[in-house]
Amino acid sequence: MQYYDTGFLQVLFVLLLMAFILFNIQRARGGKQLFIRRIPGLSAIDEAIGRSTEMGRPVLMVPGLSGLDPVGIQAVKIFGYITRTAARFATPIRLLLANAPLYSVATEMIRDVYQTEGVPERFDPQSVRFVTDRQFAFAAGVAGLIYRERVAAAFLMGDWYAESLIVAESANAVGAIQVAASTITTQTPFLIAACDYVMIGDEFYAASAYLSREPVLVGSLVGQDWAKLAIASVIVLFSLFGSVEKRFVQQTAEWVQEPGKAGEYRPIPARMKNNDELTPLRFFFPRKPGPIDPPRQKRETAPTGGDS
Amino acid sequence: MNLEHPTYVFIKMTAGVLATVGLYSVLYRETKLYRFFEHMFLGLAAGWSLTAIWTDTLKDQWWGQMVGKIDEQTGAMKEPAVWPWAFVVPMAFMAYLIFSRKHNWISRIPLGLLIGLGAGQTFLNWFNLYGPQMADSVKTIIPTTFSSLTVPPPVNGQPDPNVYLSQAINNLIFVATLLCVLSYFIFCTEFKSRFLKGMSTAGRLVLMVGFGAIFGSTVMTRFALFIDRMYFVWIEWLWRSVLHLS
Amino acid sequence: MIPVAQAAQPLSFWQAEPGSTRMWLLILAAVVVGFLVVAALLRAPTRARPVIVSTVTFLGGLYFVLHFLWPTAQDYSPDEVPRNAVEGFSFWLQGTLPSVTAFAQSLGAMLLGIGIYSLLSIHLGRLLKRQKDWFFSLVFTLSMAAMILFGYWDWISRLTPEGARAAAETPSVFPHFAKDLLFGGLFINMDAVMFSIIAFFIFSAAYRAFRIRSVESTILLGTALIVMLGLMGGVVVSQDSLLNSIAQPGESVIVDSLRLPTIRSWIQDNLQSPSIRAMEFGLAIGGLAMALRLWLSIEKGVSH
Repeated sequence: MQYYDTGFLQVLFVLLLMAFILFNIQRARGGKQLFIRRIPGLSAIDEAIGRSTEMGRPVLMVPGLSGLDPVGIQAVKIFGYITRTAARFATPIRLLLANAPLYSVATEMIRDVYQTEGVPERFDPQSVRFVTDRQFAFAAGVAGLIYRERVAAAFLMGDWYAESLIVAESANAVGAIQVAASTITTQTPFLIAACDYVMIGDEFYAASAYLSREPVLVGSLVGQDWAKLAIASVIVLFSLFGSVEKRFVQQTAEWVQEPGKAGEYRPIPARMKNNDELTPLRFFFPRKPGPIDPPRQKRETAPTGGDS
Repeated sequence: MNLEHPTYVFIKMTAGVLATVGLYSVLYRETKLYRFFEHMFLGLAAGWSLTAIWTDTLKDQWWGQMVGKIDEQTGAMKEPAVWPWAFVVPMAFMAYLIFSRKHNWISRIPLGLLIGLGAGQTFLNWFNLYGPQMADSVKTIIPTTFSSLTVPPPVNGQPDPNVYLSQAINNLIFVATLLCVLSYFIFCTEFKSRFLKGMSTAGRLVLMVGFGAIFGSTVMTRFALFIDRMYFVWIEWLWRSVLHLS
Repeated sequence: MIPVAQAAQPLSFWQAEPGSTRMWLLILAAVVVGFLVVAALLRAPTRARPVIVSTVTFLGGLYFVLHFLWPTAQDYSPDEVPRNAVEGFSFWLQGTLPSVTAFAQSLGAMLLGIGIYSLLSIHLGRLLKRQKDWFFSLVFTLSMAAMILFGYWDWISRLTPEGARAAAETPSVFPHFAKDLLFGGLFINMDAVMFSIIAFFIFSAAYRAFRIRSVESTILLGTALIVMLGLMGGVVVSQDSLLNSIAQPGESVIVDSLRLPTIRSWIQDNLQSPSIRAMEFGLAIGGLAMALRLWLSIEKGVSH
């Protein structure tokens, strides 16, 4: 992160968002009771598993193309809660993945769920499967499994791209209840059209807090709310400030920075400010400082061999 | 004979057509034909991943750094060998212990390291990714002139810095929409006032408008892909290659 | 991390002459030491295990957190000498970044084998036990083996300039035609087939959503229809000719506002863009919170 001009404010802003989250986690750990609104789609989990149990058909869980990142791990965490219920009723599960490192983490986490529930013998290592890391081959493989095993419930959560419709429609074709949540915003409309229940946006991240009521997760969710309010405040305040500035303050100097030199304001005849000259925008686009003073010395020999 | 030879091109196209028919058969139902091509597709994908992982990633990113490079003409060293890259092997081996009943916990070490690195990158990149989006959401919502409702055509090609009434209204709608949708994603407060409840409900409805717009603009590109495929099967293969019609 | 290499300077401790005996011995030693560490870790007491995992996770994240927080040296150049300790550390961070990124990519890439093992254990098991659908497992295994064989064979054959020229001018049945048929003829085509199949599913999903007739699905499909019509050249031209009979473009604000492309772009600029952006802010914050919990190992079930 660059510290020149107003650049350090950006670091402070991200730190502030992180502080909101950590502060509220601490607050929740201290026993503070926090409220979470109902999240449509999550109430369907028990219904979907119940149906699978009655029909003796598997529950399918797919995190799309998610990798070993916050999205992928969040998806597997939600699948862990679903598996917990499935494990109690001995309902078979299928967790299909497109990323080998996430597959490793998922295998461990799902195995843990069966152990915690006291039924380790019910864990079938082949119920968690790596399919392929190629997008459409993955879609073909998941669709094939849906048809062959006639899954009764399909949970599609994580980074879903164009393949989402292939999987969601295949699940619909075999009469499965589909609960979906895509972090890829351009795919959410297709999931809304194709699935029975869809969690929108960061309802995906709120799901684990809602399901588990773990203080860490609930506190984090409150912190996330604060962070969203901070973003909203920045946009509203900056919009108001910028609007007033544009309406009432004129530009009387122009910022000029020639390559390799320090920038400076040069006086100009008063005129209306352009949008990129408004003060709030400096927060987002800090100015580059002038050349390094005093300049650095050169090394004696030029390095080769890259960065190793 | 090279890869452009008409006989070979025809064989290759026929293979593509068979694959098209085989995979499209799932639209009717999951048949043995689909299952055959699905498994072939998965096998080819796994094989290709195992090939590309070496040729595209490990060969240069890992092996090339570990053993260095020699100029083949002169035999002189181009890049020195950095032997500590060899530590990646036992590190990766730890992940493979996931299949051990007794020592599977060890796999969490390399995976934890990857998770940590990924998490760190999230903090580092956060503002670079979302800062520009926040900047673009800061709008001027007070008109600077009431001389015209809409933006007049540019004079001498010069951009007009004024904010006209229609622009200010649009900007206000933009900011209001953003706030309504953000309020829908507030999870830990029960909205008691009718205003806030209304904002949240409006947020969900306006999200549907946004989703509809994405849906509408994507449909055409998806149909273009389908038309492209049909062109391949009917025109390029059947019409030109099989029936030899122009 | 490893220091920057100097061509004209003697090799550092971390470097060796390519292809030299010293290099192979050091590589071997590194592997052996690495495995000894693994062997030592196998004996770690149960209580220490979560601590080890959490520490490694924390250190991994710390590297990028330092990148985030440490003042970045302006106009970094590896052939310059840092002026002070703060700049020196920033130089180290910037100099090691490509290596750390390559390390993470290499480690991640090596884990593909875990996934392939999962696939093979299912398919070979089915094949050897002659279980239901064993034939399809055979198809899978043979396709995979063929792709690996011809993929590598083709790649190796092109490593030298003469080999690359021969592959382009006089390719042989094995591996060049075989690899091209498997990759270009089948794999790439199958990819395109699955992508194009979405057109059917869009239609069926939209039809189902249309039948639900809720307020939300009506708004979604109504907007989709307007935007879609605004993108259809034929429809736009027909509507334009109709509206032009009332007023030419630029003559009437009201008539111009009724033109489909205008409505479409207004919806996209003023409703789609802010609503989707607000949703992305939420996702970004959710991701940030999850990353924070993972880094500090306070997310249950992941590191312990």
